[in-house]
Amino acid sequence: MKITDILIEQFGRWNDLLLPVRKKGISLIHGPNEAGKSTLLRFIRGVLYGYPAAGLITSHGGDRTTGWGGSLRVKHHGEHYELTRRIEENGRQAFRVSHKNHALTPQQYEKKILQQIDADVYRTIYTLGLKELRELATLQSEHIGEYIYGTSLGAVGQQLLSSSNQTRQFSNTLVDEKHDQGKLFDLSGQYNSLQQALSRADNVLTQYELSLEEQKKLEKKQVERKHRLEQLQREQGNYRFLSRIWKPWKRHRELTAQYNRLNALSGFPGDGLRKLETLEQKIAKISRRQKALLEERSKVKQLLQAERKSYELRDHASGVRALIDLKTMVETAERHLGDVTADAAMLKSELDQKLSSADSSWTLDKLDQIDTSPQAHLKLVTAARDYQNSLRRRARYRRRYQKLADGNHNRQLELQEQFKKQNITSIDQAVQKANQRIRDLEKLTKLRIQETEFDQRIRSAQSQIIKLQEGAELPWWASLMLTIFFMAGGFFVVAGLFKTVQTSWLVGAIYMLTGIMGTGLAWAMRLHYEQNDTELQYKLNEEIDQCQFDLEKTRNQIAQITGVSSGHKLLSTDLQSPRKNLTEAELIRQATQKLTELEQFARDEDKIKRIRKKLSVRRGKLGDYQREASAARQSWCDLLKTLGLRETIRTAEAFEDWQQADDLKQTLTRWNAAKEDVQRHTEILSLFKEQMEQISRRMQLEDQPHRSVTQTLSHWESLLNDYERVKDSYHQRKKEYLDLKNELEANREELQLEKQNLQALLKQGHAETREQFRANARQLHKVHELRNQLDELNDQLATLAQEEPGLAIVEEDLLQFQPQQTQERIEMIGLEIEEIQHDLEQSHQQLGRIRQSQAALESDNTLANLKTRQARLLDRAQITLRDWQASQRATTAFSEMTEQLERDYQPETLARASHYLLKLTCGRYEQVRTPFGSRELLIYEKDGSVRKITELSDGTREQLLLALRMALIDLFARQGIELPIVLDDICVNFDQVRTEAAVKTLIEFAQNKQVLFFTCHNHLATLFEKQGVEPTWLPKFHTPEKQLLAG
Amino acid sequence: MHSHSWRLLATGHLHLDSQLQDLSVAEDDQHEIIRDATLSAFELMIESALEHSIDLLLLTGSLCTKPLTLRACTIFRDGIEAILEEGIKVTWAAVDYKEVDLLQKLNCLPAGISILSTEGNQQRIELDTDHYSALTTGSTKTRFGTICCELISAQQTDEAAGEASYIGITDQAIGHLPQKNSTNRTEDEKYQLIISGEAQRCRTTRHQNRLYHSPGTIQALTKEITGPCSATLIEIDSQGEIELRPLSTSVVIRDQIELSVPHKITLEELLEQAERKLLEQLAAYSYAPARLLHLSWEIRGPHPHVMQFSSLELQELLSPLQPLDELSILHEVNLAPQLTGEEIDENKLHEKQLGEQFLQLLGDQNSPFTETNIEALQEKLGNKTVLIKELLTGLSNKEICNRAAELGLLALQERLREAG
Repeated sequence: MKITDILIEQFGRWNDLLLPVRKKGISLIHGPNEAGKSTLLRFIRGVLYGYPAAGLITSHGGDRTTGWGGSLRVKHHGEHYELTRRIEENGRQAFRVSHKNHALTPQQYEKKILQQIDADVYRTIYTLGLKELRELATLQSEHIGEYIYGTSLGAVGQQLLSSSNQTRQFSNTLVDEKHDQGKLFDLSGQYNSLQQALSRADNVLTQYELSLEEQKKLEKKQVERKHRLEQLQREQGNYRFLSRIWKPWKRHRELTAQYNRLNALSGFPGDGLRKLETLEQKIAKISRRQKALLEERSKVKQLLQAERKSYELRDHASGVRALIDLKTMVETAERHLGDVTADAAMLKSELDQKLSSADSSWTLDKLDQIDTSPQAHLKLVTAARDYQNSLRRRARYRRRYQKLADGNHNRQLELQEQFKKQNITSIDQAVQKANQRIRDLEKLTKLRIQETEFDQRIRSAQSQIIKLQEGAELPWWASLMLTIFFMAGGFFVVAGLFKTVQTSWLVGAIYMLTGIMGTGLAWAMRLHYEQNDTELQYKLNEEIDQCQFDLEKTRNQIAQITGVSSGHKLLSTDLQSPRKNLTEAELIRQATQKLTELEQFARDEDKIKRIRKKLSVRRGKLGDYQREASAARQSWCDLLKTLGLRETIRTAEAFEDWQQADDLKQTLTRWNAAKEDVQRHTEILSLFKEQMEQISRRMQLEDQPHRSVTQTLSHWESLLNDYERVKDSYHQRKKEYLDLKNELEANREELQLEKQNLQALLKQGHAETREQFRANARQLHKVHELRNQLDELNDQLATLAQEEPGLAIVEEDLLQFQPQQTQERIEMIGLEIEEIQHDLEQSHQQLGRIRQSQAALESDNTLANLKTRQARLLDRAQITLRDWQASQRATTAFSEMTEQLERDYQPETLARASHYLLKLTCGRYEQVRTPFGSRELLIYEKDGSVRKITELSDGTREQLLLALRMALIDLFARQGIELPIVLDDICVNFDQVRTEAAVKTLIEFAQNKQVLFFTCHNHLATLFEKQGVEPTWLPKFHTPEKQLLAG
Repeated sequence: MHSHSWRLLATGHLHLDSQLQDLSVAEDDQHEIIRDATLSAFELMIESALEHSIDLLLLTGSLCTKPLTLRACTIFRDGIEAILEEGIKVTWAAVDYKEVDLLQKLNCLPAGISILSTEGNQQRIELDTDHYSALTTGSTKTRFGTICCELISAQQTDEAAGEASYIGITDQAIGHLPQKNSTNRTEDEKYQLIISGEAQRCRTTRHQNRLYHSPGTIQALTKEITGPCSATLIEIDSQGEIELRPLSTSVVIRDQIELSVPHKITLEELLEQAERKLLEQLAAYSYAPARLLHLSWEIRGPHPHVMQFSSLELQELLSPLQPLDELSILHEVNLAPQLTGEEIDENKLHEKQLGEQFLQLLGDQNSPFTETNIEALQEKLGNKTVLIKELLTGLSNKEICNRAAELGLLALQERLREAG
């Protein structure tokens, strides 16, 4: 629809206006302010969609719009219509659409003329004042927004948006920077709490150091205190000792002085008085006894003379008595001799019997040589025990050695068998080989993957080439068309030549040119498609060659490892067995197992070597035991030889021999003893008889041979009894007489001696008389008393000195000693000692507490626990950061993909708007775009930077919004919607350059559209004029009585 | 001539009372094992030293990662005292002399221990009455210690010392190619064995009949160090031959298993394969005294096959897989979906190729974060809390990429399930 004329009967300041309008291009209407330009805009909008009631109210109040109205003559699809709208008296608006003398219904009008464009869309898109232009919200409506932002993203877009949202949401759960929350913030909070706890607990080391310092200080103080205590105790001891020793010392000193004065009688006998008295008593007593003895001696002499005759047998009495005394013994000996003789005979026969029954080697001489003493028996037992012990040790050690050797031998056999079974010559080589094999297999696995990869790439490239080759052939219809084009071209060239010759060169040239164009076009199209395919194919072939080269290289490497040429698929010669179907992983596992097995063999081999060394050591030790056993056997045999026994290495036999020898020797001993007994008794009896005969001869007794020894002895006994009776009294008296004589002599000598003693005593006591002696003795007694007292004091002092052996007292100290002052000093020291001891005890307790606290600190795990928790927390934070960074990366990747999609799939409106914006901004802003899923416009500058609409200046923003509206109008126009566009001074905020650009753009835009452009600016009108647009000048109203309604 | 064989136990970093990392899957009942892992490893090392009747314990690494704790000091003191009580000599090539100072300050440095450092003076350590070992400090910082391992008689002349087996100690890391490393080759010539306490991993290389050996840490702290950690028993026999034998010490072992899914397989098949791999792996730990094994599974293959499973689901299913009573296993699963290799349209997005296109795009990405992002987040969290930059440094690009692939592909799959 296009307006042809504007007819205003009355509207605002306009009355009876007829304004013709250009059907295409810009109709520039220029007039000053208050010329009624805006009123015209509202009139056009009002006629088409209804007058807005509020806009017609005047400042006088009341409604003065009654009768207002007018018409628009329009042309739509070649048909002429007249649209008339008038405000009636009741305020209602009467609207009529006339077409060829008949009216259209409102529905027909909306559908046909307005083409379903509603009033809002028309107002915001087609009729723009500066106010409408600036409104962005009007473009956000459901209907318009769909054109600008595009609502369907497609499956790919939806998938990308959804995935991006998901990763973004996940990222926000980890770190939500907007709201300062998320897992990382939680962990950070926990970390802070832990950090605080750590800072509280982190003074353990300081505490420990302080505790150590305190301990050192206390220990130092304790040492000082102990030292001081020792000093004080020593001092106190000194004072006490001094005070203890001072009193005895003082007494000793006084007594010594007294003693020195009295001690003049040196050499006076100690008990002089008692000696003197004793001597006097003794002299008197001896004198009395001498007298009595003289009287008794004369009496005894008389009696002796009377008994002298009876004493004759005295010369032989002793011999006779001796023989008589032996009488019983002789009788017993005679009886015993008989018994003993019988015993000896019996023992002799027993010995003979034993010797005959024993080994023939036993003889009496040999028996004599055998030593059967207990000492010899002990030696034998000890030697036997040593010998047997050494044998047992040797046997025991030999058994252990044998057991170890057998075990090792078996182990070695097993190992050798294993080696033989697995064909191992050297275990080190086998281990190296197994290691090499594992490395080869690992490398092989990697190479296999590479091989598969290259293979896959080649197949992929080949399949692409096939597809290209298939696609390179143009479809039959396209080929047919190109051929027709080609042939038609040829035909036209020929026709052109013909026409040039026949009719006119111009027609011929046209024909020829048409022909050449057709032929060239067909040729160029074919060439274009084929060349593209060839290039791609060439690239793919290159890639295949490269991949094949790499594949070959990889296969060669595989072949080097497996020993099989690259044409073969088998792994290696040793894998051509049933194991060839196993995977590399399985082979690696088997190789690892084999390596473990080989390492076990190596360990076994080491063990065998170690046991061999051990066996060697044991062999040496076994030799030692052997030598020890030989030495024991030798010493055993030597001992048997020494003891006179038969040499045997069997201890039981030796002991049997010993037993037999002992038995025989005992019998022999008994027999020898019996023999000796018989001989002794016979000798005794012979000797006795001889003595009797000798005595009888000396006594001159008559010989009586018929009498037996016993009878002779009885006779002699009676004679002796007579002699004994006389002899005793005689002897007694004789002895009495001699005693008295001796006694008298002794008494005389004793008397003489005592007298001499008396004289010596007096001389010793510095006296000549007994009285003088007694006086001297009294003086001496007093000196003795002093001496005793001094001795006691010396003992006392010595005891005191022994109590304190470490102390040495100088006499000067004792001379200067003040008892009162010393006592006071002792008490003072005591107090100080008590104080120090108390301090020591306290510091000891304190030290104990410190050591306890140190032990507690050493075993305190609080800090370690906190640090470990902190480390775990940091681990979790790191994982959170990893996930966050990963989700950000994923989101970024999705964003890039979305961006690519946005580039590829921008709505057409924006593409068109970008075109206009580029022109309006003189190339500064080259693109306007909207991100997927949002209703936001982003403007891309030429340098690549992006701006949001809010970041633009007013002028640029208006240019953007104008571009958008122009794009929308273009889009609607393509859909067949054509409505008149009215623009009311929309370039007022544009600078000169952009205004010029806007003018050119609008002229271009309005080429197939009807645009009414109102302006009050001369320069704008001039600019349009320069571009060939003639303005329609509106005069300024000068009727002050008329109220301006708008503009 | 060498008079008799000589045994030495060398250790690397002790890491006493340091915290184990990368154990986010650890459970509460394993808290104490993890907490005391480094201390237990040290105690195991001490037990091994006593069991093998060594002549010298040589500590070549640092005592622990900072700060030194009281627990670390006291356990060190108790362990070394136990060694010294048996008449075994202990030498510590102290990397950080501050540790020595602190130990002394805390009365935790037993009197019999010999300290070697670049700042110290020449020392000689008497081993027994007939033999001695000379420990000297080096003149340069590249070698701070030398052990003359030849136990020549003290009565012998100095000429005899020329036949000694010398062991050098260095605080520099030993690489795979010692001739290219910073070690001084001329200086190295007099040593039969050079020990470095720097490396975390146990490593031995040979160059011109010379052994370069790092005992490695006795307990791994991070998951990068896989397999059992150990101290090294160095035995020099009467012929002067050097034998190195690792003695396992780690209580917590870290390891990785890679499962390849080149074809489509069922969950049961995958679990069966995992169990088989696990049993193979466990055979290697038969002599280790470990109590906990942290196992990282990486399941890789073309994404349509790998993405049949999810890492969390697999982790839950693998958790009951505990073949040994004495060894708890912590399973951690990571999926590594890969491109199938099929041709994709680079210019246009296709519904059926979205996964493949997504992975390709992900592979082309560098780090999506700018410094300001991290700093802004750190500012929000606070500067005295979890340090994001530090934690991110511990993550590898591959790890993040794999996780991103899993998350993205899961999201795509879910959308497809909703739509289908």
